[in-house]
Amino acid sequence: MKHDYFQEEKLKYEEIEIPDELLLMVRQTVAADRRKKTAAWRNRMIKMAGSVAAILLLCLTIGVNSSYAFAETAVKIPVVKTVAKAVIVRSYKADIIALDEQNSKEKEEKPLMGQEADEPEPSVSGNDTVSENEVPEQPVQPETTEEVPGGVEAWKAEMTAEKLREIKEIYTPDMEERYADEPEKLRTILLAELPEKDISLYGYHENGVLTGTALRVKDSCRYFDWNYMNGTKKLPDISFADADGDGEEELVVLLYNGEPQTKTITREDIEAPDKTAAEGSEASEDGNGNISNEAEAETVPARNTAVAENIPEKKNTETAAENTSMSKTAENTTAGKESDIADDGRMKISAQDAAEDGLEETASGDGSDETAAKSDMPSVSGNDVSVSEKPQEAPKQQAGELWLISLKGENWTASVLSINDYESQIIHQLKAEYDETAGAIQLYLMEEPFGKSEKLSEEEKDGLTYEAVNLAPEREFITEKGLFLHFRMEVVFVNANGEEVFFPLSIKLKAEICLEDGSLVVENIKER
Amino acid sequence: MSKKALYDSLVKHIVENQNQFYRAAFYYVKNREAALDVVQNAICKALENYEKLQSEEAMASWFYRIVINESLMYLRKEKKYIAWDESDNDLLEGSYEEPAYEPKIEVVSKISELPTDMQIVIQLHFFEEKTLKEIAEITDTNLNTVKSRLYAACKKLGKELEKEDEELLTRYGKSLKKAERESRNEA
Repeated sequence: MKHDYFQEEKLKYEEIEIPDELLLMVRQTVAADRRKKTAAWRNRMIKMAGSVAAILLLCLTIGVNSSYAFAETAVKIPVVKTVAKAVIVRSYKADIIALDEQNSKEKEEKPLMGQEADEPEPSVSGNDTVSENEVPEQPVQPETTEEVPGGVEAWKAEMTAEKLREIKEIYTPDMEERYADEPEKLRTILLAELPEKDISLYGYHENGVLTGTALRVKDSCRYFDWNYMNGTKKLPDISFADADGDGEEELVVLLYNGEPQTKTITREDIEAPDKTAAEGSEASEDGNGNISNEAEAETVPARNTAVAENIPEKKNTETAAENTSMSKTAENTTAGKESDIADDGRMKISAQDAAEDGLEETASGDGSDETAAKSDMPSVSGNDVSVSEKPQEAPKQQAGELWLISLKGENWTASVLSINDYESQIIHQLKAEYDETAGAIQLYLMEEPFGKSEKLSEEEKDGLTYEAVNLAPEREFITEKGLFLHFRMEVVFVNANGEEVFFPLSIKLKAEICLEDGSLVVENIKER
Repeated sequence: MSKKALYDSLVKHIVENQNQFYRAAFYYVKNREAALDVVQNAICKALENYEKLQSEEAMASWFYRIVINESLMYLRKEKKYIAWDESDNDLLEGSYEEPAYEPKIEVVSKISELPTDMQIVIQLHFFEEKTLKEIAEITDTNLNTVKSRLYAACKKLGKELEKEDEELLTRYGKSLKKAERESRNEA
């Protein structure tokens, strides 16, 4: 009797209908919680990293100011020395700087000893790039005009719209071969042009430096401390698009500096470009874009005093006015605390070095010293130029930084969208959830399911743990009827060894890039 | 077990058994939307507090307890709302029945008329086929309490169950006999 009674009730219980929304609700709830936890974890890490950096800086400050021995050691360590010198307030500062100078000279002499006798003397402008000694075979730069070759600063001072106009041939890697005997033809290379609008973009290309560009619009030109290429040797693109919706088109410059640009190109790289890779070890592009103008403003006047003493060049003293005429509207907010500290230190020290050391030639004895030595090079402040010692696999080609330049009137304004910017903006809007049992990925756009759930191929997913969904390397900026980013996503799994395994998703996506209040924002993600 | 692994297995457990949790919630709140809300709240609470979970073994009972507590909490809120509403709207009178607040009667015809804690025991034991030990874990009470509640619930459900008393007694052992004795003494 009892059993019958309960069986009836039990049947009713089991017949409780399960609503279709249940599955979706459960997934969304779980996904939302996961995201919350990931964000919380990230914030914690950033805070922790920030406080660690602050503590280290504090220790360094106290250390160098309380003990001469500590200070002496600190200025011998690359990178640390730039910060150390900036935070020394004690009276032994002069000694320490002298000591550092001595260190640099010692290091510099070592490689020179091993070089051939006919090795050209490094030029003495004080603006030499660090790559000078990396490319011993490179022939000495014959003087293009009446100028002494003097790095990107001198180049900026020297190049005028008329001179730039003379360069007609778009750069191709085979030019390296063709003009091997006439390096002056490679000193300024044409990167991109829009002949119908009379706009061209040129790059400073000397001693393997890939930083420093000139943008010529009709008869006016401006200079930017851009890394214009990475190891893939893909040239920048320029085009027009109306990103702020005001009816006037802005100039879009797309730089393929996808991987952090921390390497100068050496002769070996040119001969075997496939093996080259830009190695990222120091500051990201965010840092670069962020401080370059400030750095310039600060370093150029100081440097000019040094230059004026040593090289009787009139034009150099005019660079400050020209270089700083560009105002930048976009402030990159993602630059971390640490890089701010490091960059501050670097900026200060580069001004100091230029003023105090003047003629000091850049030391480049070993790879590790490069980053420190580059502080002597105001022209690339903020951009890391170091040498990777071992060849790596070719970097994935990525759409790199995007610069949007509004050409209204005399003062152009430039906004930058870095890779980190657009990646984080997209990841913020487009989330995904992995259904382990079905082996399928469902994307969510602003918390709403987006597209169809996509089943991943069965091959070798055993032993892999789902990690995240990220942007695939395949991405492209399109400037037809507005400014768009075409991209795809990929699923990241981690195997037992902690290595990442990627599964690309077939869904093709596009997002609109708009200029709002001076910042470039990614919005309106759609399937294409 | 790492926290990450614990979290992942909790998520897995929730996703795999979501229908069961929904049924349980629906059984108490008797409303589709409310049951979905209850399950969602339970998932949020569980995922927020997964660190309090001691071991994976305790997980199933722990999460079930959260679902039941959420359901009861919903009913309590609902009760308040209805009570407040009734004061100015007589139409709603009798539209809601909260078993726990029903006047005590010895024989009830339906499980839903039992006090809530008895309903839970019946639901878990007969519908979900949980063992008494599991029920004790889920309801966070001791085993004897579960046994006595089950016995009392069966008893309340009517005389026809009396025949089964002996069976229950043999199934659940001496403590139930003791409970029976106690209830007789009380009577």
